[in-house]
Amino acid sequence: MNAACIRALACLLALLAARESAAGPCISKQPEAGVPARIPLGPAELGSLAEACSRNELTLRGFASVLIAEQDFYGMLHAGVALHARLRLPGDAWLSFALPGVEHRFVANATIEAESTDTGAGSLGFHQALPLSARVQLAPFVRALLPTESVYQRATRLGFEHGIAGVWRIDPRLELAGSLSFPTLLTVNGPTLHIVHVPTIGADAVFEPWRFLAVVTGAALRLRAGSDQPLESIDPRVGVRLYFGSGGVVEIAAAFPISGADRTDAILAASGGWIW
Amino acid sequence: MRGALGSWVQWAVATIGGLVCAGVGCAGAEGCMGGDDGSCVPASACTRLEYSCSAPSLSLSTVDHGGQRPPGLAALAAIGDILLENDRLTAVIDGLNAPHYLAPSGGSLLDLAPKGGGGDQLNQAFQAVGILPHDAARYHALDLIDDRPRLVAAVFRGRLDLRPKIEIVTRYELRACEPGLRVRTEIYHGGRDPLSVMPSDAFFWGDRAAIPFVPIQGRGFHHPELDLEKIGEALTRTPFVAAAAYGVDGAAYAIVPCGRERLSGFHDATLSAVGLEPRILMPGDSVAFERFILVAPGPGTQRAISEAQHARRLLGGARSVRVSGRVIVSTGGAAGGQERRIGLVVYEPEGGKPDTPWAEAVPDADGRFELTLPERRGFQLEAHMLGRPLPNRRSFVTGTTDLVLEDLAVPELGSVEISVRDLAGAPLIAELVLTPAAPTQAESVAGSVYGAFEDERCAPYLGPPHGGSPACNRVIVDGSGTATFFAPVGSYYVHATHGPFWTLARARIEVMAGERATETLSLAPLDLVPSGTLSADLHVHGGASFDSTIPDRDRALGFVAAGVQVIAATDHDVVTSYAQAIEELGIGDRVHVMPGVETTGQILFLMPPGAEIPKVIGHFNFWPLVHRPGEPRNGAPDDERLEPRALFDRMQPLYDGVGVAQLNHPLDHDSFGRDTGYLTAIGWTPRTPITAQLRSNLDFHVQEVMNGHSLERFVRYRAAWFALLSQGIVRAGTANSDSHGFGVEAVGYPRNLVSGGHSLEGFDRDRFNLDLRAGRSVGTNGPVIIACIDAPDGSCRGPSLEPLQPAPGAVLRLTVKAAPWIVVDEIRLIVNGRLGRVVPPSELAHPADPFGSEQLVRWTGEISLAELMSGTAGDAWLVIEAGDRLPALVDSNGDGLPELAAKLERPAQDTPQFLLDAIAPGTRATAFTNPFLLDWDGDGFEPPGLPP
Repeated sequence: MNAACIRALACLLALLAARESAAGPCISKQPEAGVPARIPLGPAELGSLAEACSRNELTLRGFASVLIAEQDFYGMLHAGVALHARLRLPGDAWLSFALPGVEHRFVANATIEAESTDTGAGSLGFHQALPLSARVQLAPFVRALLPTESVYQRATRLGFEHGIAGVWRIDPRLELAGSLSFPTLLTVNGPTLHIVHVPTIGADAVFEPWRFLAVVTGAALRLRAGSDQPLESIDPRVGVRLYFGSGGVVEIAAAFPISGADRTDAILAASGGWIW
Repeated sequence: MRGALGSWVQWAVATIGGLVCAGVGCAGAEGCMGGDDGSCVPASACTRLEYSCSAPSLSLSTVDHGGQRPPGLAALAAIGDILLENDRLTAVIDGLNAPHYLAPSGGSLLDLAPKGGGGDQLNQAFQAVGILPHDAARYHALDLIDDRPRLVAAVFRGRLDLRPKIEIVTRYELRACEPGLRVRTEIYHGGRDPLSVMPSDAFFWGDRAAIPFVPIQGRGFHHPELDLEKIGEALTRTPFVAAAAYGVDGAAYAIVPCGRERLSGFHDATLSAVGLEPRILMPGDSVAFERFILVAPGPGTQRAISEAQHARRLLGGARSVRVSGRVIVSTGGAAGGQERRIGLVVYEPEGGKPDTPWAEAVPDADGRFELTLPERRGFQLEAHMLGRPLPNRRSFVTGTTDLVLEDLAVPELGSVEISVRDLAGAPLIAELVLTPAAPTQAESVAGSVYGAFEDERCAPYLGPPHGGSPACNRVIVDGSGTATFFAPVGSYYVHATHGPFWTLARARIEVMAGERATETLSLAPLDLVPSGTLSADLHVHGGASFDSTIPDRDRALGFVAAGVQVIAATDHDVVTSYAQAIEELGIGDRVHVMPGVETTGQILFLMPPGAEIPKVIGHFNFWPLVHRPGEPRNGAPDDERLEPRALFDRMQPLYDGVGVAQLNHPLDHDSFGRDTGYLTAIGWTPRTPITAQLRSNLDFHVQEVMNGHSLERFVRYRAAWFALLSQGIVRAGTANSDSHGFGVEAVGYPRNLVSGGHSLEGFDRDRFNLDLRAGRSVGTNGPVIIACIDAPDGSCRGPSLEPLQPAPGAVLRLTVKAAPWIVVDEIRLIVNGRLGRVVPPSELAHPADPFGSEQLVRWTGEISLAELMSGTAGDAWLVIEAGDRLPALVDSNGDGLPELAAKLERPAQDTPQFLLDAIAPGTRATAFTNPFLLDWDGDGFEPPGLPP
């Protein structure tokens, strides 16, 4: 993904914004806008599709992923829970936080099984809204992974991500929310850096038939730079969001990697909290 | 552009790395924990250890001649291997391109022998992180470090087999004065998914050899059979692991963790995995495992355990004290010197729960013993005599200083002296078998190696069943004609045998405490075997096999004692000749050994249709080969990951003359998850179509139809043989003992009587092997079948794979003979796989005196071939069987492979079958001929096809 691609994408979004709306893309009848399905695609959601609208948010997010590779006699269950937050800043900017949560992994290599419960990673991000029109808004962002994971025997994992999120309000009840990002994970082991760079692009259509309900579906494409298998994954995604009270939100979502080097069979996510 | 980008990326990585290191801290260039750059060197392991001695020595070399091989049955050092030696031990790491057994490459600890007593008993210790083939280390580079006088080391670099991104580096280090190797393994995960790893050394004991001793509750030498599908349930944590072989002059071993209190792993008689607890290894992460692998002279584990406790103390672990004492017999005098006579086990009582065994010792000839035990603990000392624990344990408590126990009095044993003579009164090499005079006495005189290798047939227990003589309930009588041995007090029958073609002698003896029972037994040859026929066992193991501990001397004496004249020495993956033992014993005129090998697939790779778990191709024998002690595996090739066709091709240039490839136990079970029978491995049944590919993999010369004593196996192997014959896969059938010692599996039971004018004098090996390949042989464990069919040229031709056009009106001329102690109750004539005729017991002679030499001919006569073949059309094959009556068979799953309808019980003492069962446990008299291929019209043999 180079600069030309980014420019082309921005032009496309600008063209789409021709159908202007006085309300603006982030002002919806729904409690929130510009939020793709909350499905983690990396530690502390690095690499996950980012939000494009500024809000305050406090949600508890849980996930579980399953990988069963029968031919290799390999299997993995990975589950975790962590607190996530967004904090509005002046100037249409916001901070995002993922506090280090608790993670549990179970890995089976034939009948050699290991499991551990650990502190997960945290992350801190800065996002800046860039309204392009009444229907389209972009939000460049940077996020950093906090090295709090205790699953490592000896190494430490760090990470950095920059990217741009966007929302296109097609209709008062329908929006397209997505992002393009460039997460890089660095595992530091003595003098050795194990680098994983996974450019990710994805978009979700968010359909809001009623104020209390949103249905989310879309896909993400992940690549892996420098790998002999450059296609990391294509992830069809689906989710349902329920709103209640003043800012309460509950969401369940799932992604099903269908192609590429990532052998994960399914990622399930559930979250609940408040937005305001 | 690409180069500039690369430089930029490198700069960026270095910058980021620098920033990261500044932020979170880096451990520095610590060995190969960050991956193997080809020059990294793991740090020394076990740095707290410190030993000193008066005459330190240290050397590092590459083996360049066979004479550098350390002593011991399991020693395999070959040219190109790495030799680390100090004043206390010799260690051999196999060369990179010389893999052994379960390891996919060299770099395994192959030999480890102490200086000053006890030969190598270690088959192999290799590194792995799990139980799958791709969990084992495959090393590809080696660096030697010669930093004398401080240390020498060999650093092996590699990756997990078939997992190129998981790097593994192991450093074997030896220092002067130290009783063991310091070993450190570093594993770096450069792959993508989290791994579950259990970094370990896999000690391949092999079964029937060294037994692991684990000092945890309820274990010691007791290990439940390992279920590879339930490894998690088998994992234990233990402060050290020890091992020793019994019944042989071997070394003892111990493994001590460094930098941690306990070792995790699992143990059984085949393999111990000793290492770290299973853990998750994330991409980019690494793990290291340090241990001290000790060796000490035997017998027993006491010295190795004492060294292990000392090392633990140096490493900052539990403190220990020495406990010494003396064992005396109740009538005075010392008791000790042999583990079969007396051994000691020390337990820590656990208050109603199973005790924790902490140490084992074999008192020396003066009855003295010395143990090293944790301080300030309460213990109980249990004495074992002739494989049985004595009832009263001695309790004691350790303090902080060394402890001397009061003398431990044990009851006196009895001894036995038996002489065996031939008819002329000359000493005879023979085998003695003791059985309780009263069957009810068996349980009280059975024994085991501290509970391991328990076998109900070893009654009275005279020694470890898989070791040297006395073993189980058997004793070898050497050329002196006399054997003296200890036995438990009791009343026994002692049987003397020189094989199934001699008389059997028996006497009753009374063994009394402190007294010697003496007896002389005489044996005579019987006129059973036609002249020009040699008796051959084509599947025999000795101490060089990973699953045997019988010394070469006893093995070679056993060949003569069983009356076997030709042996194919077929140790697992190793070529053996027994040449030295045979020369030293002066028995070269009585037995000829053809060096060979049993290729034994260990690395799972084969995925036949329908298989869920990879397989190996089972076992095949190949002979004659050249015994080359300087070469890896004594000249046997690497046989892993080859289908049979490729294996046959690999063996072809290695034959020393006319070679024979034999399919062994074609339908056998698996052992430790490794298939031992090819046909079972590929899921073959008689209903499986013979494809071109399968046909090429069935291109062996001969197939085992009988293997060992099992009648259950015989009926299945013969069904497979018959099915192949009927489909045109015409191979000679053989009958072999597959004996791994002489304690339980009797060499020569069964065997092949190979005809063709052969004699040991001027033995023509090529002609002998050609006759074998041509099926000019009879397989038997006692009965002798002499059969021929009239040929057009007026001759009478015996069984052979050469098609025979019978003369008009031809008859089958058949004689069945057997020694009087062998039961012949039935003769079966089988045509195209169906029973053509049975000669019932009423038509057979039954000798009145099983210990006599009369009534050898059980049946003789002529059978009309036309009559026998009635009901068949076209060409046919004919096989003749004789022996004990075949029990009822069923084919419960309809696969064409029958099973016994009911479990075969051991014959009672008053039954005619008892004597053969005593001499060759589990054996029922059986003999079979190779087929007559009846080509009626002379246009070549047309196989009849499978019955509908």
